[in-house]
Amino acid sequence: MNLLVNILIDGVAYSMVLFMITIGLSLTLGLMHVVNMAHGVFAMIAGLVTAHLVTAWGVNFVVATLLAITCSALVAIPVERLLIRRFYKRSPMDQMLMTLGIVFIASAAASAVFGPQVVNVPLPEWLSGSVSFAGKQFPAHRLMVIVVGFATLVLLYLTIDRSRYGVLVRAAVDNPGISETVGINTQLVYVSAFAIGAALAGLGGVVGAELLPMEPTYPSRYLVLMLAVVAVSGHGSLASAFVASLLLGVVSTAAKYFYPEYSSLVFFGLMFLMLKFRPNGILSK
Amino acid sequence: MSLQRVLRFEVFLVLALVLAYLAFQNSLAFLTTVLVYAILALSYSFIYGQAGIASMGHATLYGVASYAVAILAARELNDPLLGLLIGALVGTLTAWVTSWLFITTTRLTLAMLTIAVAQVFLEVANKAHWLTGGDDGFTGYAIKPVLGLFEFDMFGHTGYWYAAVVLVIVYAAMERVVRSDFGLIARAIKADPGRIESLGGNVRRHLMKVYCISGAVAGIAGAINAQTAAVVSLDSLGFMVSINVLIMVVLGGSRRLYGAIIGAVVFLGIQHVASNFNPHHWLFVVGALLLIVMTAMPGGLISLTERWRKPA
Repeated sequence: MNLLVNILIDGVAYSMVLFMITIGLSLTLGLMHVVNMAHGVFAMIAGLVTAHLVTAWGVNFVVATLLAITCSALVAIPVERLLIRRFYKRSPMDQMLMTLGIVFIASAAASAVFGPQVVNVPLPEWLSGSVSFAGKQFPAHRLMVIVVGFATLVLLYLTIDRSRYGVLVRAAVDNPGISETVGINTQLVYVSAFAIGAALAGLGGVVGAELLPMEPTYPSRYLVLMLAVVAVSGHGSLASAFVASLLLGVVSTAAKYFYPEYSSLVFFGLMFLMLKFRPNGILSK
Repeated sequence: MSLQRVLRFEVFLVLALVLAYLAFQNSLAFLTTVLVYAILALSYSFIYGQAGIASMGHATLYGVASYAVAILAARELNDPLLGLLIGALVGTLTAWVTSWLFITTTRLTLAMLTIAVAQVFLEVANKAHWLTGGDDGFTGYAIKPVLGLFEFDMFGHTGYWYAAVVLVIVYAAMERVVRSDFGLIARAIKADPGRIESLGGNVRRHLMKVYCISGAVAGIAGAINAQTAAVVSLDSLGFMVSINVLIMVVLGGSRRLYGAIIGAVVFLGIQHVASNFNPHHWLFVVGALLLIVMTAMPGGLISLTERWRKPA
């Protein structure tokens, strides 16, 4: 019983990290049809910046996180304008290779600045302890991740479904040509959505640093994981991205508990099945 | 006209192989690696450039064949030419078995599935320590002299010429296939699979055949790798092999087979020089190379020669 609760908490926390990191990737794929392999770079930037701000300058963890995800978004804007934009109409392979080039350059740069080892993102005291609830102890950090993840989901839902900006994004996804004709600045929608996606990846990277440790090889090490979530979700909706993250996150956490030796085989097996039987996305009919 | 051009590249290739041998007597082991990768890149150019199968797990075909050849060599099946045959067969079989998983998919799904297949094979090779040696790599096998005459020497003279001859033969054979109706259908599928289907073609079966041929050639590359390096490591199944081969093909140009050979030579040449200079910055160089090639010359290096040739 206790074990199951632990698995559930760890699994859902892990899923939330996956969701936050990959939602920007799903959005980019649906909006601009670009397979962006460099998405993990934004998570890494935020993680490293947070670690540096907290350890070297003693900045408060929450403030540091906010500054760091702003940093990710600011880096994302020139990347989109100067590089990604030229690849909207190119073949997926060209897009993947170009963005892989960004991954390699970012990894080399991170290793030159921070060294090749894992960089610890120190948690404040109120997150490193545990919280007691209904007579049980729960790790505070995992609960925080889950809360932040759900908050992100709700906020994104409200933005995309209820706000004026959401209308613009959905219009640009459905039909970029007509959107432009009726006066929507699709280029602005693209770059802003890309920056928001990068900021969310940064958030996921920082709060998930306990689960996916920050290191210079971060963007390539977790690349397959991120792409797997996006591929299983099928491109597009918020709900399918969330469900795909939840499925892959909980199952792979359970596999790590029960069969640590074969957890990656379980993960890939599940991915195979999903892509074989739900090739158009997890929530497709 | 086109036949002339093919012959011209074959003559050029043989000349380059002789010159490289004479010029770099001290680094024949490195040159042999370049030749192995050239063969592997040819096999990738065949599926990607001709049929449009954008696989990101090409290391599977190469690595599995490498291990098979090495493991059988350790069990006395160590004639080099028999090894080539084993490599080709195992490569074909691996291609055939794995292709049903992804052959009809495209874009991200294809990339993901091919990466996943490669990861699964890597994981299995890592876990099956009793068979593959796991992390330590597989060693302790000897290869008989080629044709019973030429022993593999420690300076790599035999290894180099062995790989060189196989490269020329493989290139000539593949060029034939590319120019045949079979190759034409592959390019047609790349351009518009729906139309081929509606004309009565069986896209799935044709792509599987293309993939199997590529598997045979990748298996041959794997066999030469196992025979000349005398060790097969887990790296041969790794993601970096798939990515490096991809970069070579794109760098050289995927529209023509010889682009793969040029790409392999240029890529490994840069790697060799850069890693002598400073091994830590190699990743930076690869990244920059990718960005430059993708943004400035999407047709690869061979598009430069074609541009230069056209005005005349």
